Amino acid sequence: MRPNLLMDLKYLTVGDGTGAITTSPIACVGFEQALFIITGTNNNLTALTINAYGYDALAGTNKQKIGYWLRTCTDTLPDEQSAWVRYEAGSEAVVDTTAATVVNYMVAIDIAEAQSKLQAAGYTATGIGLITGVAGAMTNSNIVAVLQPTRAKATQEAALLA
Amino acid sequence: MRPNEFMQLKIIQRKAPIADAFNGGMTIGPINTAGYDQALFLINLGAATGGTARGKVYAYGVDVAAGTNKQAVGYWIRCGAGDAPDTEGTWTRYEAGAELTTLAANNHGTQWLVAVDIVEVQNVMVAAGYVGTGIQLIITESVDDPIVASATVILHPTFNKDTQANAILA
Repeated sequence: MRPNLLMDLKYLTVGDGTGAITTSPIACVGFEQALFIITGTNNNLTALTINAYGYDALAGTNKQKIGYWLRTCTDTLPDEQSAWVRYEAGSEAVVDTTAATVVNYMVAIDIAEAQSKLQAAGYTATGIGLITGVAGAMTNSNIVAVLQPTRAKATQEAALLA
Repeated sequence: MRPNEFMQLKIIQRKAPIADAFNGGMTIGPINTAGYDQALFLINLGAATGGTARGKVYAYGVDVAAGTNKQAVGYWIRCGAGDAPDTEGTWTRYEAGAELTTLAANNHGTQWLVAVDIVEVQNVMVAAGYVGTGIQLIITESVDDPIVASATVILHPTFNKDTQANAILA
């Protein structure tokens, strides 16, 4: 049987709530690509802001803004999705969610790029994470991190920094 | 820059978080199989009222959007380890018609990952005389204990393209 790529990935819930969310820092070691899936139901949510960071310690110290790609729903249906849009380090995405009943946004981060950014700033590249902000609220918002390991293995390495 | 394979995936929220999600059965899909070769259902579990919630998982191929002519198909499942979500179980294979009955669903943040091979599903459907149009996951409540759950579906396309095919059959 063909290898099932989806089964080689690491999936982890890294944040939930109804408002702004700071995800648990995700370890860079052992992984090379990261995708954050932001879901929720609109509850008078008018805007969602997204920033991506690299960290050099569990506590999230010396955080550096890093670049990322964002894909959003373009309508009320989760099937109607935008193209990937690149945000350079320091750029904050502000998504107008007024017309969206479903929140289904994806943030892709290249871990090698994040490591380069942190190292250039003189820090050790230990982890990455997202910080979202809201105008209004969502119901049962949830952020799941999907991580691609640097090599296939039966048991994934721990990804939560602790 | 290296190609980012994640950016080729189709990811849709198919069930928003709902309370008592398994009461009466939680049906996810049908999900379109045309243009995709692998599917993964990510079930996120929230708090269970009594801490004893259990669910049974069934995977099906269907031949139309309405979900008719369902055929049971095999799947793999990996369960998160309760309050230690970073510690995963192993992938376990369940053949067509086999039901999983031992899932503990009583910890906030626990995940169930259900992987389906779409090519295998299509083979099952064709062998039964049907067109393999979609896949569907149904989770029933085997222990009556209300639990919050949501479902996200991740699909791997058969080839890379800028715009993915619709995943929701309609």
